[in-house]
Amino acid sequence: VIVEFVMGLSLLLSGYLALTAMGVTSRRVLAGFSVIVGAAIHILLGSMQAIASLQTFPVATILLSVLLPTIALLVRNRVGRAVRVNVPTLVLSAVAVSLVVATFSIAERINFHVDTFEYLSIGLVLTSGTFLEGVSIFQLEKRMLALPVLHAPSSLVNENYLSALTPLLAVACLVALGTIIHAGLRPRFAHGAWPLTVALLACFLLLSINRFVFHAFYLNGHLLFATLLLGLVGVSWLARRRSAVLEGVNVTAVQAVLVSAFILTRPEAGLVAVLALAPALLDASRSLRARSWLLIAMGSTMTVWQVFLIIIAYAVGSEATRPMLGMLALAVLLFVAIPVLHWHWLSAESSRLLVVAELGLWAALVVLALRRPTVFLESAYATWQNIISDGGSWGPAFVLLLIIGVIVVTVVRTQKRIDVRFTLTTFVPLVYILAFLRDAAYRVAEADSLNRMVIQLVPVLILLIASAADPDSRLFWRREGDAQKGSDALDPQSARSP
Amino acid sequence: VPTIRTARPRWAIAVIAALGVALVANAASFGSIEDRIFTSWRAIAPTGADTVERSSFAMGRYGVYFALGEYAPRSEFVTSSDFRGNVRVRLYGLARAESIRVVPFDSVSIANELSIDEHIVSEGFYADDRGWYQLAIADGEPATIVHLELAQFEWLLVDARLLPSEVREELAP
Repeated sequence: VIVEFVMGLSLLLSGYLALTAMGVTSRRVLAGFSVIVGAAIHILLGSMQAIASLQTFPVATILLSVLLPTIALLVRNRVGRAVRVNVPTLVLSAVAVSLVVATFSIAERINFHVDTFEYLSIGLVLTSGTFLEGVSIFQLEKRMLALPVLHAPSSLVNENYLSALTPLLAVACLVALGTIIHAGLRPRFAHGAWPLTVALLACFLLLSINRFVFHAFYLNGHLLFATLLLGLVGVSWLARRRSAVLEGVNVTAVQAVLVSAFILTRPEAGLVAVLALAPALLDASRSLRARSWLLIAMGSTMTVWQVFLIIIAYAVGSEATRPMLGMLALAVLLFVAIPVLHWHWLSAESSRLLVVAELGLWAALVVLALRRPTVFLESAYATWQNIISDGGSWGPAFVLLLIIGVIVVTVVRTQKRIDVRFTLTTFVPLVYILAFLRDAAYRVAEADSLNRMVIQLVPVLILLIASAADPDSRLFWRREGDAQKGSDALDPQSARSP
Repeated sequence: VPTIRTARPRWAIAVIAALGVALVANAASFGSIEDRIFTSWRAIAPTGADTVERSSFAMGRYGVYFALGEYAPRSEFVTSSDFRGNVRVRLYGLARAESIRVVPFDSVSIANELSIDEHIVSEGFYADDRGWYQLAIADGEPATIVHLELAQFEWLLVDARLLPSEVREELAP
């Protein structure tokens, strides 16, 4: 239990100090994002230890994850605009984290299936001092390091996992979702009750989903993926909306940390990261430098990881697989894209480029489906059975969300939601393309990969739906400017800048 | 972004209604499937019981981990036959260490002479009606199928030939 507390509080403290060093002063953002950012920092530091062929000492990872943000904060205060740690919010957050950890440490409930043991076995060799000798390239390529690194401190007490960690991430996901929605919508309403209601309902809706609760106890990387993706996309959404909570914040640094850790969660995360950040990378309102740093963060993480995998593969007498080489090529492309960002027409034509990219994914799916119809048809059938016929234990949840989401995307026009929408609508063809890449169709079962992957986009889907609450939303066939009339403005001249 | 002063923001009301409907529908159906959260894939409440030596876990590269629970049977996995070595099954550290045996599919009582390929596939097992777990391993000819006797929740299966010598000695019968 002590290790559970230490880990939970270190994630909070690490994220809190890092966010403060990045310029975050908003109490709700500090409270809502600290655990997520702390988890990202822990993943990065633990993975760097393993990749550098150092034995992963969980104590060292924990200490470094707190120490480095502290140093960053001190350096910032010495050379830049000084920021102070908001102690009361930190204490309140620590109490909340402690309550969550205490509750779920005592409850000791987890879910697992065979994949879980792959993750745990990586965690065990990670801390045993025999990582390079003991780890399987097959395991490592498929499972990666994020989850094992997060659970590695359990080895300090001769355990294999931290039972409170996944529930803590689930709570962090809920809090982050509420924080993002409220922070994004609040400035648009004179009455705070509306955005608060939307944010609370969104959180309760996520909590009411059977599979979310399942994943809140499931030792696997899906919820971690979902939470980091929500953070990544949520920050893009808030930044595009010029949210006051990000005023003076180094958004690039926040996203660089999140995306680097995100890439280490699951094999498909690199592809999803590129798609999720594509709108931000083409956003001319962001500086070239900021966008370049995002590309560097993604490209560096992918390069280091894939090169590491290739070295291990050859060391054990195997060879580089196609996914390894493919992801390495993608990493190189990200670096090549840095000078390309200087072409102004890219940003000018960003909308068209995103449409082309999305159509390209769908076209690729069509081509693959025509070449190998069985894989596609079996996958489509499995999706139907798992989601519509409840073979995957979703209940009515995902169908309802999907219907509402499709209505929101096709009928409602809301400004500045491209980061959220693009992430979702490209995820759909991507997961089916992955079925072809892995050379196996999805299947009818709770444990089916796609059925488990669905949770990865659910928080972002709820964010998309909530974003439609913006008073400037309008039906696609209505002209711009009609929205405010439709919102029953009390005062025709009341629109003002905050 | 300007603030819109509205008495009845239509879109917020529409979104609240949509979220509310979905929430009610989920909540109403949650009870009927709530048992599926913890029972379908078997939740473990660790008892703090014995765990096996941590050294054996270092062999993840050569080991296979199994969990009970529902899993679709896949019988297409077969093993190459270029290796015969000692195989020991050790309990993974999540549950109690009780009786675990490895026996061939045809119930011949040889527990430690199995054909194992390094690229063991960890999927492809299921319980038959006697509570036996069947494992079909890797690729090649002839097929080697192994039964793991049901004991507790999960096991570690190790290709002992590939273990470091000190662990091999420790595992030796």
